[in-house]
Amino acid sequence: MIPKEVEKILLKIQKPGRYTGGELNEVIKDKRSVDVRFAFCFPDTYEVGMSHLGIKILYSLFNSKPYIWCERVFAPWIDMQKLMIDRNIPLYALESGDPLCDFDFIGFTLQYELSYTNILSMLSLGGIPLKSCDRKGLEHIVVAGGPCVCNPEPLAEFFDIFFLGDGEKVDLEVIELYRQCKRENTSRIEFLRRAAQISGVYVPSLYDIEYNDDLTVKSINAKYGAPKKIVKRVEINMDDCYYPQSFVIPNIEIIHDRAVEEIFRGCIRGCRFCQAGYIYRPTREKSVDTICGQCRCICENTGYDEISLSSLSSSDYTQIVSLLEKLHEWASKENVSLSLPSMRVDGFSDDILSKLKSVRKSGLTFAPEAGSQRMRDVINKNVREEELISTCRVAFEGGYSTVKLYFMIGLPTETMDDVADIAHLAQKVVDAYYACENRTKGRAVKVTVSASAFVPKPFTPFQWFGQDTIECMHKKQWHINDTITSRKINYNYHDADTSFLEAVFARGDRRLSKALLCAFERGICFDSWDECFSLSKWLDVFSACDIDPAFYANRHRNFDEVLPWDHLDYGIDKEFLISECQKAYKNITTQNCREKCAGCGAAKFKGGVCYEKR
Amino acid sequence: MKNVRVFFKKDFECRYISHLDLVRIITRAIQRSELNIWHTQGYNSRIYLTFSLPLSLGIRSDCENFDIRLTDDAFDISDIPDMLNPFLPHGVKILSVSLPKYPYSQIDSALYQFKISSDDISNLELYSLLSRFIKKPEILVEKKTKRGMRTIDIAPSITEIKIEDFNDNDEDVVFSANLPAGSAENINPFLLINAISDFCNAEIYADITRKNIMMQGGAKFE
Ligand code: SF4
Repeated sequence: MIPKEVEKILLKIQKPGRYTGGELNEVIKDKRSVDVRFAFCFPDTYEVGMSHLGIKILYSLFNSKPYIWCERVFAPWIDMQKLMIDRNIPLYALESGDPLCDFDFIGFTLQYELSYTNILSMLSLGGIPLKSCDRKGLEHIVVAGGPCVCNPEPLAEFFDIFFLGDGEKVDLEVIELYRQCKRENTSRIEFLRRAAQISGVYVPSLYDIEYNDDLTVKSINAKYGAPKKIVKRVEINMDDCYYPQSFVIPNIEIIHDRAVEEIFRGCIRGCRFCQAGYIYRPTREKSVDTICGQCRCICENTGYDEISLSSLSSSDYTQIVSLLEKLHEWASKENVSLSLPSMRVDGFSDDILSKLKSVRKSGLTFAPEAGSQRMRDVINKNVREEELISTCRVAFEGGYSTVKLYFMIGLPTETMDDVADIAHLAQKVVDAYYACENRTKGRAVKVTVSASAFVPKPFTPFQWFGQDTIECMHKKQWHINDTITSRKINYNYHDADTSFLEAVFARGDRRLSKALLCAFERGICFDSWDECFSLSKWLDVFSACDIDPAFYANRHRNFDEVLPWDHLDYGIDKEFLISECQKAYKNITTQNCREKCAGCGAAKFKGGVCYEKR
Repeated sequence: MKNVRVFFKKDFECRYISHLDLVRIITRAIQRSELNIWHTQGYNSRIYLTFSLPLSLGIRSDCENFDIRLTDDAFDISDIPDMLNPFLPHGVKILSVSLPKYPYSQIDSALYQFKISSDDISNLELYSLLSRFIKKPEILVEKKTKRGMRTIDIAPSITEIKIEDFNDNDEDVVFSANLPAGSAENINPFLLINAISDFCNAEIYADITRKNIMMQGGAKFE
């Protein structure tokens, strides 16, 4: 429902359909009939947020409970934000049109660091006090889940509760506790202290941080009976895990407008730069039957004619061939197309490739991540040049002529020669095309090289590594450019400035909340959007707050330093990460979970790949 | 094969859906229903679906329509609303279905209802200003044309402008007007609102509904 005052401005802004709700399958309840109102906030635009799987799962799950009404809130774009502020219109939820301050829970999903400023602007627009210490009474409980919760410290002052790991159960347990506390009429503080006893719940206000003179963390001290270590929650049996039967169908075009089926969580690979590869351990699969049943159900209920199978590195699904065969049989009958967005192309028969929409449409995509074999050993990225070239050759013979290659620069131990090898590898792909007898005649090959700047992340073996400075990244970017000689190679690189800011917040501590607040007050938001991001504005913010961003981004840390996220336990032993880091510096690879268990610690969750027969 | 004309309502939140998005939503609903629709031939085969008169963003309508072509001549078309409505958002609702009587080229005008109000002046003032406005012999507006912005007089084109009785200052001021629509001449209802806004020297909010689509001579388009 659209508030009356909002109707007056909708025709003055771009894409008003973002702000109206009213989609097929949106859930409308009578607010008087529920105990708990939950505002699910995605700190980015409607089009981005509506494409996200997590919000679909939790929205359905919460609304499946008669006592909860969960609604959606997205960040209004700059034009809308300005009009809302000018006219004193509070940020509202799409379903009821009610302002955020009418809600019991305001829940955010933390998907990327560059969305943090949007969180503050959304809270402020919604009339919610920004700092948790300024919120009183048993209402406006501001919570968050999602991958960035593995180091939420820069946001600690603004949130009451963080959920670690899979949200399906812990969220409901906390909501249940809230109902109980409301009935008992307890204080907010009492509620938070009790919540901290639930496994997977991190209440940041119950922890004091002490710092050393050199500004590193000295100790993290739990109080009021809060656990010393907060262990993440894991849905270990994916077949029993809640999955929605239908999605809200947007009225306007969004980024990914299609059905999504999650086929497994976690990743067996252990690429050392990849945070997702560690924090979602252990790898847990849904069975083929569950997946097929859920795909059918969602397509029937939504009418989507495209379904995308979601996971990290999808081809690692143990039954991938029989899954695709079974799905294809159903999909071709129902005129549904399948796509597997994160798939390694190697090792598949042409027959299977032809059944997948993603491959048919977008050409070949590889992520070797590094140019030289040595560098790929360092990051434990198990792609060999021969494999890549031979897969390309098969594809070229099959009529393909475009290849996209994704790389990172700024990796630990990287030299200028490693960087130049990115260009050389691309050249070898070009050469492979012209060496190919059966290529499509008369068509030129196009190889696109993308290089992004590496951001060291918590809970990876590179969590101690100081990011290359922006100048150093630029040198490397130019070096690739200078090394490329062929006009068939199209080179684009991602802005190192945003990666720098990402690195600051990814491994930041609580003192950064001052910078976030200051940035928000200066109107900084939508940092993940090129048209909004400005590094110079951020550098002004840091200097105004007397914070050296290089301390967080570029400084190499010692193994014995207390890290700001040391009280959070994602099941990965620190000793394991240290040994992985040491192996990396010696160019030694580690086998994936299915080849040989590396003993990371995640076996304590008692399931998944750790207990598969090898 | 037979062509069918489907009449629908566009209302509530869905009045902020662009024409392009509306086409997507209706296409999806048709695909989801079990309707057997004829597909266009050729490389990019699409379902046969055409719209008579696209509606500007923000306007409600009781009389939108599109044509589809069914493959089965014997199909009972009265089933169509119940087949499509479950797959449409509640702001888009199929009202009725019939065999097309007239071609789109016969469309000549559309009747709109306007509910207007302003934060700058009272509704009573607005009402009296509007009463004067509709008597103006000339209504000059800026209109975008192929040759850039041009000032035109829309007064001769507006017919049947009629203000409803107004008795309570809390109520919006309501009036209706018939505006040229179709391939020959087209006047966007917001042009009229802009003219009223200029005349009143106040920002006007308009809740506009397209009530009817008409042919030359005033007969209803069916
Ligand atoms: S315990 Fe072994 S098998 Fe399990 S996630 Fe860790 S490395 Fe992989």
